[in-house]
Amino acid sequence: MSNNRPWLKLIVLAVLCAGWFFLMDRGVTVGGNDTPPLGSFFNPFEGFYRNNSSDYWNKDLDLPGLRAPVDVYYDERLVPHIYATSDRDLYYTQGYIQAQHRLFQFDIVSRAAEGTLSELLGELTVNIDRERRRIGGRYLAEQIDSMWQANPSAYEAVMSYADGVNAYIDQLKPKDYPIEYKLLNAAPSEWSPKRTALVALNMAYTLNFANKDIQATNTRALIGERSYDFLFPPRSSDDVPVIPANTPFISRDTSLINASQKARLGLAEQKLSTLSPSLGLKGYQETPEGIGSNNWAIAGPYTSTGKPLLANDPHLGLTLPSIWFESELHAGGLSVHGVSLPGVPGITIGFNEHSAWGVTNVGMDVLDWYKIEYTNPNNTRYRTARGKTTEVTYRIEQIVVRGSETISDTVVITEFGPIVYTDPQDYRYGLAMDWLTLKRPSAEIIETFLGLNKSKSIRDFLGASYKMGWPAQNLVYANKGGDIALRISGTIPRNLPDEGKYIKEAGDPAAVGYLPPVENPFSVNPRQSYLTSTNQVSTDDTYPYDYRGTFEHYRNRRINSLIRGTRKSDVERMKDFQMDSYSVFAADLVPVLLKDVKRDGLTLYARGMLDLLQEWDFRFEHDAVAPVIFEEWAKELRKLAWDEFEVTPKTGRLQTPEDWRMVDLLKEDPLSPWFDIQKTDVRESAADIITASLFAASDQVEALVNNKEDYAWADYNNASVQHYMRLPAFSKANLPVSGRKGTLNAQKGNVGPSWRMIVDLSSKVGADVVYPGGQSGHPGNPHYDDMVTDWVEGRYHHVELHDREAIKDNDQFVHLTFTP
Amino acid sequence: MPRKLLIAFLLTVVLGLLSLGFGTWWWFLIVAAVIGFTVRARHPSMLFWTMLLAGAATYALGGLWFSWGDGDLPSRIAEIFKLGSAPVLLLVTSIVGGLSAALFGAFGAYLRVVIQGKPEKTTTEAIA
Repeated sequence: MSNNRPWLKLIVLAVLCAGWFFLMDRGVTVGGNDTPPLGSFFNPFEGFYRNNSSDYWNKDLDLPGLRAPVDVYYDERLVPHIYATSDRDLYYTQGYIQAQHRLFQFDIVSRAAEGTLSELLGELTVNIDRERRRIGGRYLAEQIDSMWQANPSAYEAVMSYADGVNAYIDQLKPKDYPIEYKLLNAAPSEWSPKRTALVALNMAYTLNFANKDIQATNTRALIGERSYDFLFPPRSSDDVPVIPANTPFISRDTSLINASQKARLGLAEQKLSTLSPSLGLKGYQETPEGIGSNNWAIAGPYTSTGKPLLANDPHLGLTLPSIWFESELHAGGLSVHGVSLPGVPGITIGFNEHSAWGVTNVGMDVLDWYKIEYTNPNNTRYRTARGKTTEVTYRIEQIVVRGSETISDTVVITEFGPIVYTDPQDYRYGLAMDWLTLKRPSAEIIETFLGLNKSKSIRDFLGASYKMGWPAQNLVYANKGGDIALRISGTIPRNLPDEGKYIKEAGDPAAVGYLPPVENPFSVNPRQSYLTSTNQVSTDDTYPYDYRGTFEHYRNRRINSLIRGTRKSDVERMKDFQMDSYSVFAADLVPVLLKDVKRDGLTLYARGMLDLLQEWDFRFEHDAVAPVIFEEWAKELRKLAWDEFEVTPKTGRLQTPEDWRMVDLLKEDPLSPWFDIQKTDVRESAADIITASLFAASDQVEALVNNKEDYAWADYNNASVQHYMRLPAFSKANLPVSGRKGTLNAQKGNVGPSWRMIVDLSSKVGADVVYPGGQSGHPGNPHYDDMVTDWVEGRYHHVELHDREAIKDNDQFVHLTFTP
Repeated sequence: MPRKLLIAFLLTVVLGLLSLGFGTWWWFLIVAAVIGFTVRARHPSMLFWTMLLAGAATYALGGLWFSWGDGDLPSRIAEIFKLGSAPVLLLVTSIVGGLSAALFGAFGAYLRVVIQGKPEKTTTEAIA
């Protein structure tokens, strides 16, 4: 530029400034990802730097929505202890505070259930949204909201809570938005009771892990009914049921559905012969493996204090921020401490001055699929359960996709439920979802937990648990009076034997209503003085009703044996139980492997592996290499044992028998034809496949160990806690966690114990707690992930209920006042 | 550094921090342009470099202010944007601030030159 042409320079600068403004105002695309608008994002006062603040919560507030002042005391872990004078103000404040710490999580979880993630995240989540829209989460939530409106106490709780959340959102300026919104260049949206229902529905859907109908149908088509029944029995004889054996059950009408009547009714011959064996269903999602939970209550005779102990560790997808938010709530007659799902008022798992309670999933199969075959060329008519044909109805869903065009999805509705998946090879077929939660929407989830929050006695506990109308949960309970109880709480369909195990067709026998709550299995103060649930089978064979599900087979044996073997349990012993990495599966299988393996011709490396397994204590310790050897060997053994179940486009998704069945067969029938390797001409036995799988495993293990010095179980298992947007920078990976699927400390990838709680119900009720995360949902806050290391290493935090007068003078708490 | 440039530097930092703190990001651009216009720098190209430093200092000071606590968000953001570490992110932040101030400051300065002509040399400058 020449010095004597200022006009020219001005024009060039004007163009540069305009370009710079344009760039800063919009952002750029780097590696296929859009950056947020750079101007605001890099402005230290309104961009990401501002979110590095750790004391955003630390101020007294005027909240016009309150009716009376509320005191909030934060402890050193950022757990709020809220003291209000009414339930309304309590839930209002709870909503405000949870939103303050977890607003983005509220949004993302409710959007996931509603099918509106793509509005925020773009094309990445279109398929998830499509599936959720077809299921109809939004309409279900609206129904639940209407039911709440008809119930004053529940509605007051959810409405006050929503008002509190919105009070926080309303006073937020863009510069104070959570970092995720800034990264996405988006804004939070209004909260409502409907969105609370969506958060609860998201959990209900997560817990539907007994969803193997498609695999079961394909597998049965492949191997036949007899083989299927042989390889996939519903329960193992070693299982210790949730409700102790020989508990008397209440039963009024068992005429229809006694399991022993199965043969007489001839229901095994269901009309499924015409079903395509390979429904290659587009978008079909399987439930993550490893989800499960433990809870137990031990009565005085087995504890060191003579008073009950209660423990609970629900195993769920581990996220940052954590799926739980810990709080202590006080108002009127309520004093309760525990955790709740952000977005839902009250305490879900916790304790009060009198009682404690915990939850595990039952795993009953409450989600069935109907194969819908259209009867006309236009695919508009289908056959109903009564054999007539009728027209489908349609619902048009508009999926708004950020940065792209809105997608219209036509949801086809049948009398069996919405068609969620279609066969991509043949559009004349579809699968209609017959889900308990869709058929029988229940709004009592809030009342159940608010009832538990105030429970003082067994009567209160049973009263609250009777209200639970969702897919069944094992609710465990204990109180200071010395009582313990466990009830299978929730709606149980009156199933016909084997009904819903496979994909159904119109006209197939179907469940006849639901059991009255009084007939749900339960146990109060059993003679054995303890009760446990680990997602195992609910009852022994004496329960008069037939039910089915996906039940676990190892943790129940372990916890029952540990409790029986401990004369006087205390809190420290309970911690050992929750952190236990002993694998009953390994203890069952390793002796068989070592006995049957053919040692001739083994390599030096393989012999070394055998030596390590010989000395192993069956504990999946994070720094041990023996668990890696075992896991690889078991993996290779499964491949050879179940080579008949190779998935091909023709077979579709298949099931393979569970590990306990494989161990039983190896022990009881080593010459079983199932152990024959299909590809060879000779007939193999158990010993042959055990040896062959050791060779394969030794190659794998050698490769793994050679890749990394000190390679151990933690490297293999890769335990992690992941941010909702799957951003590694906001997640924690490669955690040195001990345990595997099937150990009490069940950990697999990013699924594991999401909250550990041990409540001591002696003179002063208190608990030891920890979860893999932190109270703050803001990655810039030190409390974002400050408990992850404690959780990994099995360190707990002791909590007690604090009297309002006592906490006032305790300088370990930060006191805030919220005034109307 | 000539006095005017020193004044421009200080004004940019002080007014820049105020504008960024109480306004939005583009207020800083206006502040830079106004400073460039009012300072009447004899050599607008020198002003460009001065404003570059001042803008970088403003953003760096702001970034450091919020990095001072016990959070580690800058490191996490640096990882997301594949910038390696928080200091590199702070450098990028400073570059954004520096270029913003330099471009708009220089624009303000040349606008002044176009409207009013180049300012006369001061006695000191003439002797120099």
